[in-house]
Amino acid sequence: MTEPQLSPIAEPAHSEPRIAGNAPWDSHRETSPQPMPRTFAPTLPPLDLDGLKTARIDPSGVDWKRVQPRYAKARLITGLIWALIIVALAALPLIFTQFLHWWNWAPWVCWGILGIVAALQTWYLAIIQRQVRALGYSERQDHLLTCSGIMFHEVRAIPYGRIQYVDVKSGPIESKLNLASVEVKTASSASTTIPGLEKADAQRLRETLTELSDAKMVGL
Amino acid sequence: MSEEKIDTFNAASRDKTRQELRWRRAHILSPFVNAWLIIFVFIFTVGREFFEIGTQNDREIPDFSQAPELPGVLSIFENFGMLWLPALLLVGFAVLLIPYFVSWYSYFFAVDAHNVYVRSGILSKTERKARLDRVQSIDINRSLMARLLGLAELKFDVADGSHSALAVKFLKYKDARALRAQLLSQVRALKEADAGENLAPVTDAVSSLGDGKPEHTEPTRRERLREHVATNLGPGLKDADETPVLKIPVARLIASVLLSFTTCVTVLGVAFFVGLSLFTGASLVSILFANFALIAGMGSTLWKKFNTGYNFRLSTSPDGLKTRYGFTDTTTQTVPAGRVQSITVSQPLLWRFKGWYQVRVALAGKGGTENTFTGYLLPVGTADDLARVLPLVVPGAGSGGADAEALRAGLVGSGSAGGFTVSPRRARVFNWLTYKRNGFAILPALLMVRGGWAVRRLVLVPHSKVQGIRVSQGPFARRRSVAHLSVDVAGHSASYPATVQNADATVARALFVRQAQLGVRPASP
Repeated sequence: MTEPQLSPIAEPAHSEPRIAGNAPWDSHRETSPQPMPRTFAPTLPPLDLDGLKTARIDPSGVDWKRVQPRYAKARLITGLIWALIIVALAALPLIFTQFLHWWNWAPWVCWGILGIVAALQTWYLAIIQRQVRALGYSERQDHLLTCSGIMFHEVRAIPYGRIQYVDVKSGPIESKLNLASVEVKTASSASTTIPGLEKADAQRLRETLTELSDAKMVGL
Repeated sequence: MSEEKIDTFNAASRDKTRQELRWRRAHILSPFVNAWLIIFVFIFTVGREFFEIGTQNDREIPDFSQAPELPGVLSIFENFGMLWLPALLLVGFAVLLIPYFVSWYSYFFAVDAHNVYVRSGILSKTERKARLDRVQSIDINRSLMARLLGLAELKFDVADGSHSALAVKFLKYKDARALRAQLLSQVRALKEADAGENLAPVTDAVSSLGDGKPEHTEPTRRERLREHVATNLGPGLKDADETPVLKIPVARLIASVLLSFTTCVTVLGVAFFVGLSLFTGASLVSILFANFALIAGMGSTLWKKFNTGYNFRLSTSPDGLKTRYGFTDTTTQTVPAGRVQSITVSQPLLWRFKGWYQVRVALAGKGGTENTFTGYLLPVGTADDLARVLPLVVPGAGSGGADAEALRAGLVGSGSAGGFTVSPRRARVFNWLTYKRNGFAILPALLMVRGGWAVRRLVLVPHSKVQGIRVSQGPFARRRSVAHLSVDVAGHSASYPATVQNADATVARALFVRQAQLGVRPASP
């Protein structure tokens, strides 16, 4: 494994305050803000590789707040309803051929379609628990971080100053379980949702985010 | 939102100043522009009918010289004698136009020192208002029909309004330009007053518009003709304080369209159909007819390229960069300074032989649902043109932006030259051709993302415009220890996402952290 044109973890010979010093999430939001690097760096120091190798893509030193485990229940119920509908649709060829004799498909085709769809749906339902456990968020000094997925892992950072509005949503099943999700919109078309929060937590998060975005707002 | 929909009945009593507004109607020919589709269909149908009657000799030609017995109300047409049919058609046409005239009758606009108002509707009246100090640009749009009638539409783009802007339609082209010039100076005065730099009263700026004109001497015929051509026919709309930067020759535009990927596909497709007809013996016409939708789609894509690049000219003005273009429809677009979210420079494969480039920008609040903003600053240009356009939107090396070397590396380079970081060699399974080119470079003010082998592409995103950062990794990428990093930008960046493909996972993580830092605290001088 070679890392081209990136001097590895060796400290760059810069005496000035380095831009790539502390990650913005090294300190929590509650602590005092870091001093701004006032010196203009005509060329930035090489990227600060943290020596964690390529084990993961999460930035170091972040303790994720996890969503409520019972959110899996809400996902499971919705997933189950959908799975039943989809499996019923996939069973149509079988019903038409075997029982109603309207169609004349080969039995292995009918059973094959049903089997593949049913297996996929079971798989989706089985990994819900894992997926929900992988959801996380963290409020840092200047950013809201979210992470999701195990197989397809993704970490996102949204600067508070770019948040345009924050919505709290709650579907019927989520509402029964006293859960809500927080949707964060920026000027870009991509939005971020943190699902499965306790309703009170979601409200609190919304208020915090709105306050922070007002305080740090920058124009487009 | 600075545009409001107000119920006029409540608003009139609430707002006293509203009474002092001078409400003006749009030009009386406006309904014809709005009803262009009906006019087109009407002329087409009537024309075809007459054409068929004129050409088909075998069919018995009906006798139009005498009006037949018409039932009911229509019997009055018998009084027209020989002209009964044209009269009937004209009346039918007029009836179709009535709704357009009614809506024109109830359409008003007004301008005061701070706002532009548009009032419309008969049963449910709506009134929209655009605050001049929020206006980002005032553009003049002319559709083909409007141009035939000498009319123009005045469009107001409002800051941070994502939905469609306010438009006054239609005015005489000359009036539209005069009103635009007046409003632009008002906007400028309001913005200056806002900034506190110049507290000159707005009324001064407005009233000074009337006088200050030089004494009119009687122009000669040649001068009058030239002025008429310049004001009514040419796309040469130009403000006093505008400096032209470049214009695209028509020949180069046509060549660039011919050298595009779409043309290649179209030519190959037609060749395939010809071969098919030779091989199977089927009629070529029927094959082409069967695939009409496909061919029409290709043709319309090519036409769009041609239309949005025709007579393209770019100029600078105090409001920002202005582009004008259009074959059927002269469109003016303003790119206000500092609102550019990302800049994409690209070079399709076949343009490489000519050394041509394309520059496109994404603006906040434009694009997405609104397709009218194309964002081209350079539809097709040489390296010289590129060197003239890019400094207008890309921060220079002095303010932490890209210097010529970095730009060249980003456009045509590969590997680590010019400060770029590329994918590791182990990523070549994913991008066999582009793994040496897929890369990024961080400058104090910009993120440069490079990619593409056949179509070279360079995306420049100022750190201050980054709306969010994502780093993601799928199961295969994990096996190879690589990850993708993408940067979310406002505006229509969907077609050119700023994504660093298959970077080394450690590098991607470090870039994520660095990008997050630079987004909130740019390395300012």
